[in-house]
Amino acid sequence: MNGYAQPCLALIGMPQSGKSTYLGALWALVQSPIEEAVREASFIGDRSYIQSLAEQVARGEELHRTGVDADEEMAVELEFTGLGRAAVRIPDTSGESLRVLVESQLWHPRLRGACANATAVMLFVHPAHIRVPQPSSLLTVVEPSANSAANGTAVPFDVHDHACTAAELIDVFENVTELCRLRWPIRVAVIVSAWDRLDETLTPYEWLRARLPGFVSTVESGAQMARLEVFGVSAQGGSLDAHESPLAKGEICDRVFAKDRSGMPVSLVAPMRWAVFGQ
Amino acid sequence: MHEPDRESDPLSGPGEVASPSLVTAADTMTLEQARGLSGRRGARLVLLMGEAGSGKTTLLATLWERLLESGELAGHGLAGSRTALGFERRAHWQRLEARSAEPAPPATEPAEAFLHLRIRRPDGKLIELLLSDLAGAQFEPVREGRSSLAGLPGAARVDRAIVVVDGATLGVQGHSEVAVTRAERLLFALQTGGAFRDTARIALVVTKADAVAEAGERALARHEVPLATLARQTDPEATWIRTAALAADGGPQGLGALLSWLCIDDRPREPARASEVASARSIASFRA
Repeated sequence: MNGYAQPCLALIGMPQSGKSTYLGALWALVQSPIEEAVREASFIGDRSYIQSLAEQVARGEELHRTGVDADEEMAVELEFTGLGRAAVRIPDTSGESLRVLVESQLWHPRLRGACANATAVMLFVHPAHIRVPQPSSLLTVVEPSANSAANGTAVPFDVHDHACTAAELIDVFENVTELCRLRWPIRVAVIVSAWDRLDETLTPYEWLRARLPGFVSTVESGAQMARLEVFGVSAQGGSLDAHESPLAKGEICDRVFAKDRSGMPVSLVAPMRWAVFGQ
Repeated sequence: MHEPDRESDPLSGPGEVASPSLVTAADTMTLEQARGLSGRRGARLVLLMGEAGSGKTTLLATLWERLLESGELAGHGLAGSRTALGFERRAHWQRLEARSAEPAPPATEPAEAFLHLRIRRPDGKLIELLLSDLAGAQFEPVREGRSSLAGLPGAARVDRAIVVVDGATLGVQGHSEVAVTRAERLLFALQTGGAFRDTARIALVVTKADAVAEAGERALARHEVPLATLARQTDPEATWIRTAALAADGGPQGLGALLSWLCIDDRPREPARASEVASARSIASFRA
């Protein structure tokens, strides 16, 4: 594990990309007697924050946003079946702090601390919040009008509104990998959340390659900097807005699911296990 | 835990420790930052020279768009960028221009701005490119002989020089000759500016190639060889590349050729001329 006794995972992603939901569902699985992939090895420390996330996921509630100055950290010793124990630190960084990094080009101290110490990064991407490039050569010319959106003079560039997601993620990747360059190559697990909403014909890797090709190419080209793995996860087991609540499917361990890069069903624990052990 | 080695942060000046809040990737890079990256990773400095409105920024923005939307171009993969959002800002104006019948992208402000691209060549080698995005106005004193090319940001150690010729003006009577003459003068500036390393390369790039009408083709046929001959006095392998970044039918053209050219190896160093060798020998024997 890169010579570090304690793996430190940085869970990062833009606001509402599914980080806290994943963390809550994972913690529920850790405690579930039915889930065999992982269990808590040492019952020491304050678990109130992570417990509250798990309970919200169990109740099928929309999770509150993590505050930009939130100082929550999960430091647990976990036993992964077949792989052994690992003391894992997971600071829960807010999506807002990542947005500040991209839009204002500033490191929030908490995000910087999480990334600087990271042995692996779990990067969350929500399919509903992706902006893809619109090649200029394919855009249709419209007649001049009073509509300012159609007139270049009136719409100054704003990262939040105009930058493509792939460009934002490349920016994040460059900043994060540079920060932890003493530990290259780091593991980068891209977690595509709300996988239940997506077309089943594509595997998570194919989906990411199709939607964010520039970003995938960037991470895969930098083999000396990072190793890429892709997972699709459904940490609620379905959409909370759907006609039929995911709660109808049963307990968390019955409804949540994950798929590996090739589309094979895996435990929701698999992304974290890969981030910790590389397998 | 190890702390990152801030002193060698490419965004820090010499001996300067970067603030913990500073990021590595940003909108654009200054010359100082570009030098840092160049020194650390052997990045290539690419100087785009040409008139205001000739399509230099459009070329960069379209190259970025193509790489972002497919991950690769002509077998060359996107491997990262420290100025992804700077590219996005330029692409944004271009997208608006494409949508609007009254295009009004802002002209590049005179400044020392560099955009960074990391490209994975088909053989797997990573190439770091630092692309200058200078305003057309900054080249005017250079081509008029009022100042040296070496005075332009980054020009003191150019690895690739691109002289842009606006294809749309080639077909316009009166303008065609001016465009060619100005390109010629920029080539002279490269020759005499003392900025050009003996392993560097030159390309003459016709932008808006889809707008080169019949008259433009005649102008090109007339001037292509003389301009290439002039360029080859500095770089014997200098080449012409035609691009159409915003071509409506079939999408952008020539960008793959441009990217391949940017990523090919430097020219082999030329053996020193006999007179230089003799002079070096006499200095050596004098010192002995």
